[in-house]
Amino acid sequence: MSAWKSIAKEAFTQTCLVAKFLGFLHLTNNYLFSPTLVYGPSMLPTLNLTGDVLLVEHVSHRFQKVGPGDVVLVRSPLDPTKMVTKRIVGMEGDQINFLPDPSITDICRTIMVPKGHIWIQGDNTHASCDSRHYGPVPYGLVQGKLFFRVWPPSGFGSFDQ
Amino acid sequence: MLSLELFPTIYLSKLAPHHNCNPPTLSSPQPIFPKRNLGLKKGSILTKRTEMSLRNLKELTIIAKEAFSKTFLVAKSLCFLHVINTHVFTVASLYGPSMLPTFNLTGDWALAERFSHKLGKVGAGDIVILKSPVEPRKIMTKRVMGVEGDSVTYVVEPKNSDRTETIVVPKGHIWVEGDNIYNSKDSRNFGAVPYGLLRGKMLWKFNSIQEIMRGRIKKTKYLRPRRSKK
Repeated sequence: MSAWKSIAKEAFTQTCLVAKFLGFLHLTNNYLFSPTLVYGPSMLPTLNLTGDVLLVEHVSHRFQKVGPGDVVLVRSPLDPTKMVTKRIVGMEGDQINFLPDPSITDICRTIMVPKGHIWIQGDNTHASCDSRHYGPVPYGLVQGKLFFRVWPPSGFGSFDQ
Repeated sequence: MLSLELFPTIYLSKLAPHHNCNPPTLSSPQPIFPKRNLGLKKGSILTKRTEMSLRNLKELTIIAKEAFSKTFLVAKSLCFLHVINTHVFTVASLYGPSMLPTFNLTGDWALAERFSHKLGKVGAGDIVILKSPVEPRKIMTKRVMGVEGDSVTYVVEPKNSDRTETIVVPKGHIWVEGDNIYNSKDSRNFGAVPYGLLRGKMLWKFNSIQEIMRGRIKKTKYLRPRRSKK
C-alpha cells in the first residue's frame, strides 16, 4: 500500500514539474517569441517554397511597433484556424495602388486603408492570396513579427529586408 | 567579506556584546564565544566581531532565500491565474449603452468563457467579446446575428428611417450587433468582422453584489430579446 503511495507521490511531483515547464513554454510562446514553420509560394524569394523555420516575436505588435515593410504573422480573415505570413504594405490612412489581378486586367486601383486596418501583400504577387483579394485586414488579427530565420542554415540570421 | 581590523587594546574594556545581556567585566576581557580557528591568538574581541558578522550574513542569506521562495510562489500563482484568465474563464466588466437592456449603462460584471470560440462553437444569438476592428486595443461586447453564409437583415439607421438591408456574411466572418440598435457601433457601421477577432463568449451575468450573495446569477443566453425573424 505504501509502495503505491510513494509511486503516486512521485508521479504527482513529476507531473507538476512537467506542467510548470509547459506553462513556462506557453508563456514564452505567447508573449515573447516562438518558432514557426512557413511554407508556400506567396513570399518568394524572401521565404522558400518548401519550408522555413523562423522565429516570430510577439512583443512589438502589442505596442503598435509594426509598420510597412515588416513581415508579419496574421490570422487569416478567411479561415480563422490558419495563419498567414505576409508583408505589411500600408497602415491606416495610407493610399495603396495595386493591381487587383495581373492575369485579368492591367488597371491599377487605389484604395485608402481604413482606421484600425492594415494592407498586407505577399512578396510574390503572382501567387499570393492577400489584401488584394480580401481587402484590408483589421490590426487585431496580427499575431507577431518575423525577425530571425533558423532553417535552412544557408539563410540563418536576422531578417533584415 | 569580513574585514579584519586590529583593535587597539584601549577599547577592549568598553565593548558590549551583541547577544549577551551581561556586560563584560572591566577587569579583563573574556572570550564570550568559543575561540574559532581564525589563526588569531590575541584579540578575543576580533573573534567576537567576525563571529557577529558571520551570524549576520547567515541571517541575511536565510531571509533572502525565504523572500526569494515567497516571490517565486507568488509569481507562479499569478502565472496560473493568468493562464486561467486567458484560456478558461474570465470575469469581465462592461459599460456603455449599446447592449441595453441586457447589460447596464453604468457597469455590469459578467463571466465569460474563452475556449468555445476556438472550437468553433459560437453561433447566432450568443453574446461575444471581440477586439474592435477599428480600434485594435479596445474590446467590445456584442451579440452575434449571423455567421458565415447567413443572410442577415438589418435596419440601417433606426433613428431616421425603417429602411432595411440584407447582406450575406462572407466566409470566415461574423455579423455582430448591439441589443440597443439606436446607440450602438457594430457591424452596421464597420461591416462583417473576421472570426479571428473573437476573444470569448459571455456565459453569466452577475446581477449585483447582494444578488450574488443570495446566489442569483442570470444566464445571459436566456436574456435574448424577442425579435421577429424575417
